[in-house]
Amino acid sequence: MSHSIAPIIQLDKVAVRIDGNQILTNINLNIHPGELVMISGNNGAGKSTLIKLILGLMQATDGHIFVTGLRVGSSAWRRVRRDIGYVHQTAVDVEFPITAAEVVEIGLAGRHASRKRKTESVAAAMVTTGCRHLSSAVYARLSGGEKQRVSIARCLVQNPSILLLDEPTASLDPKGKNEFLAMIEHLHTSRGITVVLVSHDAAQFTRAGWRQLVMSQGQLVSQGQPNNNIATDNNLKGSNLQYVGHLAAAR
Amino acid sequence: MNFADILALLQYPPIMRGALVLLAAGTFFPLIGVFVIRLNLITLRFAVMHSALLGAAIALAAGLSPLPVMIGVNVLLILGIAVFGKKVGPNLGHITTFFMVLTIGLAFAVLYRFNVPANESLGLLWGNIFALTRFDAFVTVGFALLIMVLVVLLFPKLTAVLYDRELAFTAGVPSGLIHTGILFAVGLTITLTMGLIGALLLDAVLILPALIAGVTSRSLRGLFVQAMASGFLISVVGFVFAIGIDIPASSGVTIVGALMLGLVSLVSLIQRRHA
Repeated sequence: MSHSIAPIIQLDKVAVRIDGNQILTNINLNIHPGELVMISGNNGAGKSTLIKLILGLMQATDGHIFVTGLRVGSSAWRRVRRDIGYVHQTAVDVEFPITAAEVVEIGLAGRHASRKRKTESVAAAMVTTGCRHLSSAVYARLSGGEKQRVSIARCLVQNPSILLLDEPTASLDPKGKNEFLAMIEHLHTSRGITVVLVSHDAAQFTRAGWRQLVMSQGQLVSQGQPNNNIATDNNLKGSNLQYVGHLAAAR
Repeated sequence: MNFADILALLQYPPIMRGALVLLAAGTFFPLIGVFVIRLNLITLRFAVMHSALLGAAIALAAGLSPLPVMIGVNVLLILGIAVFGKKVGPNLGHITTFFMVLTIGLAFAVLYRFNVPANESLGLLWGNIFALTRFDAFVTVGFALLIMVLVVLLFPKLTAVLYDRELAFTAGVPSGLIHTGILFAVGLTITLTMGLIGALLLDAVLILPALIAGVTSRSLRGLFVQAMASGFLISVVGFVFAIGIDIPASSGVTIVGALMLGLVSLVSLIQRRHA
């Protein structure tokens, strides 16, 4: 696949070292507007670090990262960083008293808007993700699938051009995973949002239309394109290293 | 002692001043208590108490007014925790413990080397609401109102940081700055509370109402509102209770606060078992 337009996310020779440990090595990656990208890899492969670099939550030791053409960390980027919606899998303290609607409203915390406008935005986003009926429910008591719908609604109020999803399906059953991914694909199609999803679950690679990247030991070891020959490999149920082997065989 | 006697006591300016300060602190300081509990800053609370003792020791050794020095030392403490905390990660426990131990060590070294009477220094930490000057009362009430105004104005950003610092950052909130601001507010509140109305009241007006609200509320807004309501109730009932049975106000307020927390927790436990 060739792209004539500039990448919306660009990593150029990015490396991260923490306390002498090489976490990421020479990452070169271009993600273009409107792409669906799935990054797979075992625990410790560096997937979450990559996401945090793009978000500006961590700094690279070497290399450069650009989002929408702006260098991450620059003053221009600071003004637009809320255009990225982020979902992570941090467990919320079960005693933390916060309603689903309040969680969604956190997406608007960095914006100046009237109370009425915020309430309308929150309601609209919760309708889009099918969780409007959960507005006054305590977030910590929701099911995994409901929590993820609320989290995506939180991202949507930010009106994002990019969604970064770090292991969003980890706590979902197979049916819940399919429903969640279908919702993400719908948002991608209807709103043109670029989606980058990180997962250790190779089974998700069976979905067509996703560009597939594999990370291992801090490196991008494979960059596939949306490819049904690979994506529909039903035997792919083992480790990600096995998946890398499949890619190599396919080539 | 009946209600008329209590009203008669309030005719005395020091009693009235103490009651007003207690009500202001009891109603608005729990807002800071919510941050102490939710951001797990209990260790910071002890570090601030120790550095306040260091400030008091330095002030007495140098013949200075204690409160400004206590506040100054605590500002330095928070700056140290904020700066070094960035290097060691989001968990401030280690760095706060380091400063907590260092400051108490330094405090006793100053007390010894400069022949400062330890009792006099410690006495500064046990404030008395009935011994407040008009200036003390003005400072405490003003600070309590300032806390409320800041919480109302910055509510979305504060609650975003309270929920998750990373998500707050990605939503465009300057989460590092807000978090450091919260640390300063906690430090100043604890220093003022200890220096003016006493360390015993610290838990009653700061921690207990926030804990009660944590049990009873279902939403973030409810958490803050109920913390204020609980603090107000604890202060009023505790004050009347203390005067009624002739015990120190700080003891009365603390006993009422603790009993209220116990009662609310028990009711919550029973409700959960029957749910």
